[in-house]
Amino acid sequence: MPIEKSDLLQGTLDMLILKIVELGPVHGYGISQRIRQISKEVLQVQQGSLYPALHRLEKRGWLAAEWGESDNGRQAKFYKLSAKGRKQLATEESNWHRLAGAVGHILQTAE
Amino acid sequence: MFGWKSLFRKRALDAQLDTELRFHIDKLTSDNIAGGMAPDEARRQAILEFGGREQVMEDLRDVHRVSIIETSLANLKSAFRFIRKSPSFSMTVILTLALGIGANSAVFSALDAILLRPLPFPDGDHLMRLSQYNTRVKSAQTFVAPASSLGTLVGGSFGQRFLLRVIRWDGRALRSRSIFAALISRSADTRATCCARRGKIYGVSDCDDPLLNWNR
Repeated sequence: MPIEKSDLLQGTLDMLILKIVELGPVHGYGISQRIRQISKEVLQVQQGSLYPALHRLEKRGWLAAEWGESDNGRQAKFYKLSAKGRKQLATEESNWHRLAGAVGHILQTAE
Repeated sequence: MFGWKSLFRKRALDAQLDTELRFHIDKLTSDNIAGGMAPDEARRQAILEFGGREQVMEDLRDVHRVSIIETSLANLKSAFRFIRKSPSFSMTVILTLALGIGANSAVFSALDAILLRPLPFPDGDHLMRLSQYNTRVKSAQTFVAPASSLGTLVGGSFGQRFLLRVIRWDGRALRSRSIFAALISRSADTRATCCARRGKIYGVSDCDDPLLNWNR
């Protein structure tokens, strides 16, 4: 039975991309695969939002990109985290934890 | 930097975007083949999964287009900051530009009206300007008046000699020469005929009286 796919919260995609890229230089395809694998198939990023997000993050200077050879010998664009991006990721992570904690508290009280 | 790139290297940008997206679709295809699909079906599925590629391309172009606006805004901001920081220098530049542009457009509109735009009636290049000098007065005085009123201006007597300055356009340059002329009444037909032997009669259509060139 296929697992139900969840929509990504607005603004979370940027954080997820930064987090995946933190692990090391990776191309767009790799990012979408890893998000799917690590979330155990719950999260699936549409290419239509992934690539514009990547280019936006690159433009803001949070990601650095360079062309390199992929494992199949083809030219691919690899993204890696910049120092500015690392700072941004830390901020977004702490914001996320605060938000998730707050939502969790409310859900517990309401039960 | 991004703005200039996408402005001047739109093609290069498109090629880059295309390569990036094509790589993704090819990876999906090879994954599908590894999963046991036939190559054709694998590619079809990959394209299906990827969705509207042109739409993605357009979205990506949008991301880069926005940056043009942002760079222009940033340039504008720094321009205003510079103007505020050194007002005297900026004023000099602005005044120089304003005067330069103003003078240029003034000269151009004059040239345009005189040389480039034909006059709104036929045979514009045969047009003459006549200025009238009264030779009796020491200081040459210009009368601007229709020839019909010349008689009164030069003292009321027909046949009075006066200096005419004729300026005409001969197709290449403005030529000016002075001639002595006399005003005769149209009614003095005999005299006009007689004097015309010594000169030339300029008939001015909207004047009652023709002008006669006296000593040409």
